[in-house]
Amino acid sequence: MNRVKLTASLLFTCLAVGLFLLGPATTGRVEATQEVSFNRDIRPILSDRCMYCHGPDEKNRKAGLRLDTFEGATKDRGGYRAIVPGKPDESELMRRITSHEAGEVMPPPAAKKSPISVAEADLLRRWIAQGAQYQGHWAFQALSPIAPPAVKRTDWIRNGIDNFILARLEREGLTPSPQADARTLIRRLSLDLTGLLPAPAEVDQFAIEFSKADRAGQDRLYAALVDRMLASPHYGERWGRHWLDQARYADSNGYTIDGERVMWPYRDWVIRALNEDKPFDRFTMEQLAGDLLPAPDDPARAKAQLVATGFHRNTVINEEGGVDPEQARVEQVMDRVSTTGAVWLGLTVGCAQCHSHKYDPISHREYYQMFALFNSTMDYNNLGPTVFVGKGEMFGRREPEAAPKPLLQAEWEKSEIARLEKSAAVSAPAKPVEWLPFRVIKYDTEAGGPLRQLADGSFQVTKNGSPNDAYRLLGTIDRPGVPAVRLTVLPVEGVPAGGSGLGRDGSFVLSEFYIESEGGGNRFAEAFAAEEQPGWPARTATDNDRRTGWSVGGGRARAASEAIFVFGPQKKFDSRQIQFVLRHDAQAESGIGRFRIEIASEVPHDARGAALLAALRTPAGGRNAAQREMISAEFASAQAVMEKQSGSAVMAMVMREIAEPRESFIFARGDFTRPDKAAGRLEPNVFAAIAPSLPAGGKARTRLDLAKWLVDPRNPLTPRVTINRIWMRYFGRGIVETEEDFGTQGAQPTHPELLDWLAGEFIRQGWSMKSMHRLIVTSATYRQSSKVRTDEPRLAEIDPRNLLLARQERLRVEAEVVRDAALSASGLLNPRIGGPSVRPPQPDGVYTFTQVNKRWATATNEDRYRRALYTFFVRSAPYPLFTTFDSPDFQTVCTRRARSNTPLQSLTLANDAAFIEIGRGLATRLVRDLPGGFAARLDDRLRYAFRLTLAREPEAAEIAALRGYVERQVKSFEARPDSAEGLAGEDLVAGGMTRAQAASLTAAARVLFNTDNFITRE
Amino acid sequence: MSEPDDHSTNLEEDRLLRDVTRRHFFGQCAVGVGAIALEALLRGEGRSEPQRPRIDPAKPMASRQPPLKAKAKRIIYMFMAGAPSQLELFSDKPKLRELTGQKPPESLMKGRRFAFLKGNEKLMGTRRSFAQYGGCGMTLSELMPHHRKIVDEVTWLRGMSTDVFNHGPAKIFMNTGFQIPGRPAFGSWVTYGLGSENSDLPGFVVLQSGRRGPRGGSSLWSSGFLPTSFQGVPFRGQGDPILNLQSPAGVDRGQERDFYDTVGVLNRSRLDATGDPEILTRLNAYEMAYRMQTSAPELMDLGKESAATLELYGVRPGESGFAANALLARRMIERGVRFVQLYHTDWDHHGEVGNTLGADIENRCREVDQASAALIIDLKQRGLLEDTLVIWGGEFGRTPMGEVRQSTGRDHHIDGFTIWVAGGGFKAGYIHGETDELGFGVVDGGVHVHDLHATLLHLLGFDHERLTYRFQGRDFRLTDVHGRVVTDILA
Repeated sequence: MNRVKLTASLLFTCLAVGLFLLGPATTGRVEATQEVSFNRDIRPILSDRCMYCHGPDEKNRKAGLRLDTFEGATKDRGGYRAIVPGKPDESELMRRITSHEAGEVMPPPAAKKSPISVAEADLLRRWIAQGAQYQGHWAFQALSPIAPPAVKRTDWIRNGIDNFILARLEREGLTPSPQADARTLIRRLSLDLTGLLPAPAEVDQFAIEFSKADRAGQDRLYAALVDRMLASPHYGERWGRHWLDQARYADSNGYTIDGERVMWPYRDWVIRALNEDKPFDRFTMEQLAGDLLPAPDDPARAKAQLVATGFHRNTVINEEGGVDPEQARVEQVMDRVSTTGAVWLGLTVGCAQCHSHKYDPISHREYYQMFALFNSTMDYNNLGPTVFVGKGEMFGRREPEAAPKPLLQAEWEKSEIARLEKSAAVSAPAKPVEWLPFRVIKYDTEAGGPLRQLADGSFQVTKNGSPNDAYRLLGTIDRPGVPAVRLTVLPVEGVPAGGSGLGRDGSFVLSEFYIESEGGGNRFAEAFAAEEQPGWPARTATDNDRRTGWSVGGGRARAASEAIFVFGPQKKFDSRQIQFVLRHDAQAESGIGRFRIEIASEVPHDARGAALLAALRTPAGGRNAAQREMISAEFASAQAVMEKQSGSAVMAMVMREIAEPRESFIFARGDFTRPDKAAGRLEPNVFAAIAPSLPAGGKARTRLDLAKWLVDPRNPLTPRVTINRIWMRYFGRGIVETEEDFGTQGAQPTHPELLDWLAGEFIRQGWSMKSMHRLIVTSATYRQSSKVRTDEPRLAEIDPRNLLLARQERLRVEAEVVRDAALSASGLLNPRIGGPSVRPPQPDGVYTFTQVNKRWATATNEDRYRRALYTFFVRSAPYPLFTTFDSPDFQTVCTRRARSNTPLQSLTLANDAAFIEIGRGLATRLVRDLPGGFAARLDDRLRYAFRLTLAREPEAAEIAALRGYVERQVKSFEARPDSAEGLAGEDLVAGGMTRAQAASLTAAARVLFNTDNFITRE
Repeated sequence: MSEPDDHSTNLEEDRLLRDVTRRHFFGQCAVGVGAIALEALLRGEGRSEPQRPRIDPAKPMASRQPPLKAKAKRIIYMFMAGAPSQLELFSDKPKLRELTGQKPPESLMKGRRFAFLKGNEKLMGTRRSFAQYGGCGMTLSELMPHHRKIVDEVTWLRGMSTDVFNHGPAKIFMNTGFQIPGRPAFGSWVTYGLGSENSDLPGFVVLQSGRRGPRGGSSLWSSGFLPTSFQGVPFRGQGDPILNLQSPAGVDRGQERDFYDTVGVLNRSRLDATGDPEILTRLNAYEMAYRMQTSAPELMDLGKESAATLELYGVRPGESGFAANALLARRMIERGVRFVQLYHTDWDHHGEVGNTLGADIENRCREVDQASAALIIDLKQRGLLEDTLVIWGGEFGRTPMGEVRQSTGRDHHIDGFTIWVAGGGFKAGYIHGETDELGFGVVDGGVHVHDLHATLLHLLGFDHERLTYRFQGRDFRLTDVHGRVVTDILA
């Protein structure tokens, strides 16, 4: 028989059966006598074939006809109606969809939509005959209060979930699978809840006790295991990773410059929140609007609540040349809108960015009302508010810093003398210096602050473009030598505080001042100023530390003031064009208001430095009062600087609201340069189609109102969407398969009642995520075997995709778990939680494709063996293992990862040096835990390796194959001197094993890591 | 199974067939969710329905026939990253030379946005000398001497336009039809539609040369929302062509065969125990990995090429770079790889040190001119040009005004730039499109990026409006909601 033909005919059979029994739209399944359901039968047809031209989008609507509402469809169109309820033969719609004339038939061929099939036409006919009743889209309907249905096989039931699953199976005359064996269960639970493999001893104990217990005893053992796993700190890492996918968390800014950013405090916040089982409503509010919630009295909690808002600071940041800061800001706001829509509502709201949504009830205007809710945050592309966070702080423990060395005056004096003696300015002759102009060609600010040049040549900014704007001035110098630069700050005209800075008291803090020319940044060697606020000396504006900087203080800022920045007499630039950069990162809202830059002909004299040096050189006893005062003031200032610099605290990016909300308008076609002012300024609001609506009037609505609306128990989407995603992680597919689209174009739920019951439980159990995990993993449904059923041959035909869950699924684990499983099997895993991201070994050459060469200083300490979650994530060049195993690049929200199965994955597992290293670790562990001679213990060790990696005993054929392989490897390695060096673990060789033997054990570990079983949760 | 004598198949084969069938089903649903795709399948494909390929996840790269008649089977795309100046290479503008130093006419400047220009720039004619060549009379500057040999083999598109003037977004736009990362690359669409003809190598390969990688990075060859099997595989120019291709130190080929066999035994054992057909896919993947360990290095070994060929391309043994990549591209498509994309960087000639219209553009041209022409000549003499599409060009063009930096260069310009296309189905020796006398805008024969995509898909046997993928509730296309086939340039 022709194989191809057989396959094709089988394929046809399966498809036909699948379609008629379980097709997502269940099209054609309705018996001729049965009531046609609008949501189940009709909406999918209208949505797919008609709504594009006859839907909610008024701009795109053809012939003024809309078919998404009863009113629209039954409207009198001058003697005829598209739908006449009860009378299909009088309905124009029926005539048009069954027409054979090219000019008449709907959908028209030009629309390139599939024609209406005979079965579909029949459904439409019967629906119209039955009265053409419309229903709202199921996902927008309130949660239905629903009780688990009755079933016949009550002994199978563990909790309410099982009633829904079993009732459906029984309706099809099917039975569920038996419970998986104890070893599979513990491995499954461990991977699902912690992302790590269970220890063999743990597996053995559980399996033995499980085998001896009766059913109730098994349930108790299993429940205890679940509780233990949920209490593990690794639970927060495992489920934190799922959440971080949605938060588009990464350690770099994105686009092509893709500079590093500090986001790990937010990641740590997520881990802790999950481990503490922070209720999902609170979890939501803190991330979307932690800055707008009342601040808790406990400062640690208050800070954590701010760090939570890092969720929406995860947007990509555009640092490319020529980028319009406003455009970049608007793009980020848009990303926040679509991410919020995808994560909480499961809706593709981004569609409404350019026009009203074609399928779902979100208008163009409503999109920009949601936009308005996000449009008033302080951050501006790459600049924005931050808070200092120390290592471990998000877990409520400040990790002991390298104890800040107290600054001793004697030592300070010594180092200060050394500094001043080296200073070119202190030793420069005290004579007038010629000041040459810096001819500015172009200038801008990173965050769009309105920088302009005044008639006197100075530059002025009258308001902060963001809390931490930076100014850039490109210009020419008259001659190549630049020994020093003078920065003069001047009072700003017409600003209330009347100072030279934009701070509330008229002050400024210049955190960094440097020159950019080809070949990168040029930092000054030193700086000094006549006016310096204690703790804010000018020299700290050259130290490349954003936490420190130059300020003159509020009071003195009302007068002009100058700082001299010195390179030294020899400094020359190859190019006559240089660019100055003024940064203001140390303090928010404290930009310089007005300034001028000039170039010195030679190094100017630092009189104050010279006086200080003289004072310091004078023995303590011989100093006069002025000298003593000067030294004590300088020492106090140095101490204050040191305090700012000490500690490993980082600046975590957070969200804050500006005082005066920005005006928001509809952008025509989504173009930020085309605000539709005629349509009026928009009031921030949520989507009207989703309950509840926000009260009108009163205070302007904020992100906090949005967050509260999302988790209002009356909002049906958030609990449905959230629980559906949790379900998806356990069964490989959501109850709604299109977990990212709960709109009318998405898939229908396979078990709608179960979805509503679970969503209701989620709210009833106080939004506790751990409770929902417990509920799902203790169900009989979850505990089923994942083996393909040979006892139910009909299943392959009726339910080839396992939508009914007559068994569990085998799921390839995610990229991170591939690494973590190998690390935990080998015993190398460093279980430390949280902290800055790390750089484990990766193959050479990863960075050849990025614009800016990223530094990857490979960890040589125990950071090599941290969980994958902590691997530094560079968006433009992700860690290769991740990409190969379908991790996204986190440019945008990711709610579901692909699960591919490619040869590049095979090559990674087989040959990546990191896995070889972990394989050596596993080999070493085999011998460490089972000491003895190579041949005598080989069988034991290989069996142990199976238990470590697969949590099970090998089959006879499996152990024979692996043992035979190892024995052949020993011979191969022995036959070629030195060939074993790459694989042999040094510890084993030192312990007396031959290199060939040690290498062969690593080879065995390599085989096990490369099995499908190893990277699959069964 | 309609014929009674079919029951002679043994049980094992039966099981395999069931698995295969099941995966067919998986594939269909994975690619085109919902009843629509199923129905299309049941009824056969009508004229106006989407052309969603049927993908077997066990062999996503299996070669597929396009739904329409195709002129070409494969693509080589030479991407000049940074955007070469059409005014220095291809587009001779005597009037611009004449008006050098004058302000550009208001009427031409109105409504235009530039990346860096401030508005006070002056017109600047080129200092390069031009002449006309070949039967079609294409103008070429002195910088492209080797291109003279192929003027009558290619179609010149002198009226190209794009939407975006920054490098990263513009490259993403040129590759995916959309300026924000996240959509599938052109190469991914092509392998999604056609699979590949070589099972020992990836179907969509990316090669790069120049000082740094192209801006946009992996977004340029990402499969976006398409299954990741269709993503471009970036071969490295130096060292291992694919990461982790080399077996661990000390492990020889015999041992490696033993390794793959042992893994195979364990995987088959698990297949028996669980019945999960995904394990069959894994077995296939491992066999492919094993073959790639040999096929990829063999592919990269240019020592097999004749001295004459090496000379034609200007390849020096042991030296990586654009010339070697161009030759590699030919070797790949010879072996059935579907889509090869070459990136050569540093065409961004604004006028600063390192990116001048003087020595720097001369160096870039020296690096690519000979090998680009050689590829066309080589493909033609091997009979491959007739069913291979070749594209050469950057992400946008450059301004008629000079941009004053350390020297005078040109800024980004999104209208009226030049690229060339050749091979299967394109007219040979044909000039399409013209810009105004100063080179600001297109006056005739404009081709937008979406049009180029539509035309290339057409030649590969697809209607660009019907090659779709359903994602997040919408049918997505390479051309979004735009694009038209440029019939004038079809042979």
